[in-house]
Amino acid sequence: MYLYNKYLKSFLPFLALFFSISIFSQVAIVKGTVVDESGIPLLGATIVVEGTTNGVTTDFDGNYLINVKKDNAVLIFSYLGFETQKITLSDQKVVNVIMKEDLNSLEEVQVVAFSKQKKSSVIGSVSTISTSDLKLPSTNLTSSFAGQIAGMISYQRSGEPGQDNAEFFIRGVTTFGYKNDPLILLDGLQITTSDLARIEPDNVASFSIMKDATATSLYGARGANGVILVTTKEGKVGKAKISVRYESSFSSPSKVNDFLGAVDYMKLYNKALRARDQSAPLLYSIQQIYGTENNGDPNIYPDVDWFDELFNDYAQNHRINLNISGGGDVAQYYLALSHINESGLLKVEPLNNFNNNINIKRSNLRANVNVNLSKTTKIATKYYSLFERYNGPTTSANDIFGMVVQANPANFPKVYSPDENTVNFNHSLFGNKGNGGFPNPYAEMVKGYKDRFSNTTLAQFSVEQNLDAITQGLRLRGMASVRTFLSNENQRSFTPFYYGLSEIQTDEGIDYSLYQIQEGTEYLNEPSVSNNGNSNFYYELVAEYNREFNEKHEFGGLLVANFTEALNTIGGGNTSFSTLPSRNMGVSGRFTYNYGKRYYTEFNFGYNGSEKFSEENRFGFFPSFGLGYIVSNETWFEDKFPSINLLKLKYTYGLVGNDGISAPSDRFFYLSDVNLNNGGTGFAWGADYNNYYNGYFVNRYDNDNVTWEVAEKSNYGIEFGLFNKMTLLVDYFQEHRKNIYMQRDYIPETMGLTTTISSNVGEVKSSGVDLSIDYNHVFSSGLFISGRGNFTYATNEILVNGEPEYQNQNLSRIGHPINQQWGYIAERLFIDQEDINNSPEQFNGFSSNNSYLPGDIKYKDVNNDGVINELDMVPIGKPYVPEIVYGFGFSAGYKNFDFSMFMQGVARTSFFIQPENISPFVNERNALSIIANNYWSENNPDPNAFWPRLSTNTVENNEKPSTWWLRDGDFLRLKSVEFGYTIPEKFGNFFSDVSARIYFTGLNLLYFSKFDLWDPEMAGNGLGYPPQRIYNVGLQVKF
Amino acid sequence: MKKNILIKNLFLLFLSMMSFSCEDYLDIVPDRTQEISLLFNRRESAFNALANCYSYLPKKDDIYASFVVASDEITTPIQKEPNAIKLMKGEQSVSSPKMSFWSGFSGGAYQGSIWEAIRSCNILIDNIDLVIDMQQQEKDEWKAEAKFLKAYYHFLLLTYYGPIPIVDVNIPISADDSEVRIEREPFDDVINYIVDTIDESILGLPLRVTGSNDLGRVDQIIAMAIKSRVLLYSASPLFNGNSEFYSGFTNNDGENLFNLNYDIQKWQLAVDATQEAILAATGQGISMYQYTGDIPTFDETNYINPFIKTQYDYRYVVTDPWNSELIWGNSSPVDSWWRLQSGALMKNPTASSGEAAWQWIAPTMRMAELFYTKNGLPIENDLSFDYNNRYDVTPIAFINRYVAQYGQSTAKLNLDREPRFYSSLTFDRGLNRSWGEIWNLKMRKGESHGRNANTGDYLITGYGLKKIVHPDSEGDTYDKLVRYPFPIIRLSELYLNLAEALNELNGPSQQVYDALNVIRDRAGIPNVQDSWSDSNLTSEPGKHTDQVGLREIIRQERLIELCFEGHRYNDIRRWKLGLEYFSTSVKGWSVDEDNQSDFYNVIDVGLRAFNSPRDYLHPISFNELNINPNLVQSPGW
Repeated sequence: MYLYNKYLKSFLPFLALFFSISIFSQVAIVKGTVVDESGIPLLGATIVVEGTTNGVTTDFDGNYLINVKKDNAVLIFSYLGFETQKITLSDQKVVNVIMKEDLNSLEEVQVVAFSKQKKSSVIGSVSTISTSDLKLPSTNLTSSFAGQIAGMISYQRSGEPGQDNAEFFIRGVTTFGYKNDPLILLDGLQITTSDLARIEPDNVASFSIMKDATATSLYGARGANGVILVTTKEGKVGKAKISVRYESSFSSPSKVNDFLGAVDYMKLYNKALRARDQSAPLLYSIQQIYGTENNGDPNIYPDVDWFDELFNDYAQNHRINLNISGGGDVAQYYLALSHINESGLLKVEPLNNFNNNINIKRSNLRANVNVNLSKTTKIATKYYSLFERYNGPTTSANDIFGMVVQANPANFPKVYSPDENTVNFNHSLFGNKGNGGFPNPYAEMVKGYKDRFSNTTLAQFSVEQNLDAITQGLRLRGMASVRTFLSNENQRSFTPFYYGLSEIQTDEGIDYSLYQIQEGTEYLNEPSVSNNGNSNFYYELVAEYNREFNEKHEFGGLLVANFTEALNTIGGGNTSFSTLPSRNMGVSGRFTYNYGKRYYTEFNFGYNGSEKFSEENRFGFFPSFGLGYIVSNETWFEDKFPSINLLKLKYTYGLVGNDGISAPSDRFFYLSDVNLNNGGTGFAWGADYNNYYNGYFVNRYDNDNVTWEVAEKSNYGIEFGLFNKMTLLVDYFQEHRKNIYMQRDYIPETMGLTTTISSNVGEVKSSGVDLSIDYNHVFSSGLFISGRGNFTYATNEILVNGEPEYQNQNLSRIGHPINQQWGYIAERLFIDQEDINNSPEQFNGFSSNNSYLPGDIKYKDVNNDGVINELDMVPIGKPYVPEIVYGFGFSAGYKNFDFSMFMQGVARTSFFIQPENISPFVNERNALSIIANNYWSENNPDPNAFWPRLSTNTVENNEKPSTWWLRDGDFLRLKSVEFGYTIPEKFGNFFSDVSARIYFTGLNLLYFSKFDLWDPEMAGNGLGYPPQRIYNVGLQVKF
Repeated sequence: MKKNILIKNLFLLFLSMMSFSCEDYLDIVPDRTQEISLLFNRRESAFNALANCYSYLPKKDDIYASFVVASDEITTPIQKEPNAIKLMKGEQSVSSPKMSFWSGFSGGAYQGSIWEAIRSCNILIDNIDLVIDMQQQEKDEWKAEAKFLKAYYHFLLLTYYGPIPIVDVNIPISADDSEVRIEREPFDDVINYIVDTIDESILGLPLRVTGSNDLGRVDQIIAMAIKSRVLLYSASPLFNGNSEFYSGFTNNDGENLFNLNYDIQKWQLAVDATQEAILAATGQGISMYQYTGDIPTFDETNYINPFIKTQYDYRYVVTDPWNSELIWGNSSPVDSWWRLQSGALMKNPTASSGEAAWQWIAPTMRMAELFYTKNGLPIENDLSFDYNNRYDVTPIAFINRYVAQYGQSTAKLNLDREPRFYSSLTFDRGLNRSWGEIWNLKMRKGESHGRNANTGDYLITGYGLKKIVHPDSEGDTYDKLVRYPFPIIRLSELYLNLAEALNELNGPSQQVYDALNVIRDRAGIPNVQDSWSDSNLTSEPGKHTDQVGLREIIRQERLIELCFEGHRYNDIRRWKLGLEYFSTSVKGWSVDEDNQSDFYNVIDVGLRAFNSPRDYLHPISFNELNINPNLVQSPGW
């Protein structure tokens, strides 16, 4: 009892050491050596006499010496990662033990901040995902996040190769400050989202996300938005294991927009012209329409399906990954090589001798080598290099997709077929008309190409020293890492020759001839070159202590010092602030204690400094604590509820900081940013107006008080296991984000400031639930089945916003989610002129030229002041970032066959269709079929028609954000289906130990949504590069 | 114990890593980043602070910033429509106020908020004493300049917003919410503040700036002249006892923002200030402008004809740089395509370049009708002028050969007018003395100066504007223009101020006639008594002997003399005549017609809308009102 109290009082494990070392008695001495299965001595294995606090650990050579008081005592041998052994003593004086690797314990170890911990002892909220779940036939790792990870909100808006990173947020967006996405660490080093996207899941040993305060507060400065920790595989002692995986896939758009054909287009265009001006001359003549209907000469009567002209039906991609691991006692290695070839859907002009389609070749090499320098000293190097060559169009493919909507089918063909005057020209006769200036997406696409190579290198060196010699369970580790990124891009393009078709009246009738609108170049113009590069350095020193006493008291301690520096982001602007390095330093620590594997406590802190703040506010202290109780480890519980194999209750609370509160160019808040030679506010005097002086301009006023954004997080968790088959993890979290740096709209114009003032005023309250459920069962027949599901709900509410005290409450953001959207309430379409006359004036519609007519949108006068203007905007719909992301799936296997599928969905989200992007006929823009099918007209005066009265000009009234264009963004998609067959070993008789599996995967095969214009995951970006549906075949061979 | 020491050492290692001068590690900004205080180290850099104060002066020669465009004087079909035109079409709004000196606006050139200008003036006043290499006297002069500009900027705001907050001292950046929420002060208090501040500045200003490097900087004469305008405005019907519009215009605490009782003594103050200003100005050699340049060969023989000579006098009154009549001009003329002059320049018919001249800015029919006849009478009052048939086409007689093309035909309206008409406007079959030659203007569709292309580059009314275009400005390329300081105030205005204030104070008198006749002499028309007394000539003989009649005469004289200089928008408003002038469409000839009879049809060419009393004062943006609940909105908005 004395001892126990003492332990509690002396929280620092370092002090506790002295007690353990000074305890011994003098009855019998037992000694021996502890080795692992391959005979390597284990250093630091614990030997305890059962039922006592009497224990020792092994030395450098695995030797131990322990005093045992009585006969028939039981010695307990334990070592992290190995099965614990109990040996009852008779009268032997030497007990040598071979420890067996605990296969379960690999699962049982959880990656935590700066270390690993037994899974059972983790109180913080950490989700770990099996890397096999991330292995989708996609070349972008981030695209597989959605619905796979409890606690992560994720969605992917674009399918453009190389530009298809998904957006992801841990527990939703919890701040409206500058940086709201998580910290991403690869083997401890900070990397970017794009780096993460390029990681090969084959090489990943563990993938975890840290969600609550105790899990993240060690990252102090950077952990407030959650942390993603990725560790790569390391070699293990044993003979070389080789794994090869090859995949080949076809991808095509998940949905293609449907546009009108030329005949329908022209007819409807003419109608649109007359819809607002009954006397307007028609643009398309009857002859033109007739000629097109009868498939006349495509030069004269074009009928262009731009989508077909621009894009192939599918693109083909290949991936190969090879990894080799193994090693001996001295060194272990993990080597991996992979190559990816990914292409886009863009067509190529036969007259060009270059390729404008997207083609990405990506190779990476990974070498992780561990060396045991001595029995107590390990060094490790990790090296990763990614080399990427990108070839693609000069205009982004996403924009080219968008341009399809800008060009209509009837104006001109993509290229004219040459006539007798142009037949020998060595250039393509790109279509246009009149004086030119109409968009020709084909010309934009094929006029040039972009060629980029880039290299990302990560190198890491670490040393770990076991200090059991000083005290049992103490280790010291140092690490230095560097990441560099370099890229060089050349763009080359020619100026397209545009041609038009002119009509010439001759005696025989109408003759047509091509004329040149724009002189182009038959050669590629001078390339435009851009370079980009940046580097990050990271150093850390870690002291760690872990020890168990008497099988009841387990102590852990961790102390970390770290330094970060990021240099020279060439592409990140060139202001004097943005070109300076950014730096961060900190000390963090963790102290854990548990009693009897039932009661757990934990205290963490991060103490961090950032270069961004004034000296007084430079450092932030972020403490957290946690409590855990594993009820199922109580003996009474096991008796009463034998079927419940796990019940754990957790609670954590703490603070985490964020210094990424503004753009790099807007750091150093304690300094003002003044342009002392500002041309815009200069003035000249003198007879000749020549005595000129520049003025000055204040871009930012200094503010010493700007400091850390702080997240106050609490988490209530429960872990529940049933029949050893099912596991349910549920977390409820709350977060109060304070000190959000934001513009303060309390400064009136009368202050005469040239810029706004910002400070730490914003506050947001978030809460939500994330849960995951797993089920595994193997039937006696050999059939196995496993199911899993994830669900994340995260919602938030702005508590304090630097906004003025609105007289119209509907404009205030307070009380609304961060990503809430504002708009007008559209009641219906105006029925007739009388309806307009009896309704409030909309957007100065009476006095401006943009007056509205029956069939245009009628808005609600929310504040009843008789006019519709900005004051009538109200929060409408759900937030743009989904509040719910979920996924569920199952896999099953029988004999050599396996099958799995996964569904994924989002809910509680809305978005706007952007009418200004799709409104047909404006500037002779293309028309989506859905508009032609349902628009308001005198003949179809449906006040709820999909599209208002047609127009060939912009009708501003109809393009305001409003409920008319608001859509529900919820969807559920069949994310992946996989069918695999493992080739029986007898097939591979001539190789020993060969296993092979062939599999077929389908990605994004189906979706269900109320929205049917385009893939709902694209939301407002509906005319961009669509998400891809992928069919994939893969072969994996292991030696 | 040995172990204990090791552990201690371990801790020390951590601590030393942290403390290896955190400040050094995290202090990464090099010294000498830019701060405002650096401006006031040396005289040369302090000029930047002074230039900054001046830089907010309104750009009257910028089509996107000028209130010249904001009236019924001119209109433009330019594709990028100036906000001033939108304002006149009734598109002003509280959500994004147009032409807002309160919030600042962008157009061609940037116009910062006038409140920034006031802050800039206060910064100079507070810091100029820190400069090392400047004499105290010069520092005091600069301070006085900044002080005057501060007063002038308050006056600019008052012109458009009436009662405004006064910012005599800058509020610190660190001030909290309640300190920054300042409110409007009563109109009379603001006027008193402006006048007092001008008076104070006069004590420190140089008498008259003449140094060729310094022209455009403020002096005593300028300050006195502006003070005359301030007091004239303050006595005007819109602001003086306007209980009709503003009886309910109060601050949140109920304080009246306008004095609701008419105070005739305000005219006395205006008279005194104006007389003082005229005396001081003429004492410094400032005089009514007379052309003294070379006579072009084509007019050598004609120039003895006073009708021709006076055309020259008025033709150059604005555009001859730094001429004898200019009291204060903006010495930083706009130098880009959006300047008014390039939009008004007539195309040189022999120029090959398509960039010859934009021909965007067209005077309206109302302006063509505003000018007097050759007898110095309004066209509707001159019995010798065929007013009812003024739009009819008539052959141009030999007698009119100096102003129009003999033998051709034009509207009667364009003939027998006063010299200022011919100095200010171009018209179809008229003449343009420019580029060293006389050009015969042909302005119907498809003709050399008519509409030729389907673009916004044409004179939509069929009239062009001479007055603000220097005759030597060439039409080959748009930037071959003679630059001149656009007048902020010139001597003519002081005489017109005097006539108006005296008539309001005491009614008709010889003093009033004298002041008007200074203007009319230079314009080359008979003096006011002669024109209006002759019952054979005028339909309203003796109108000038009655206070109300004389008021109309003075106002028309002012609208003519100061046309196209940015006065009309303010004058019409302060006379409470907005509905009369600004609410009906502006008109012009049918410029899309090529034959003569179709061309001379008057049609609407631009919408105008005026909501009374709302549009007399500009709105404050609703965002500003949300930020500062102590501010009250202008009435009607």
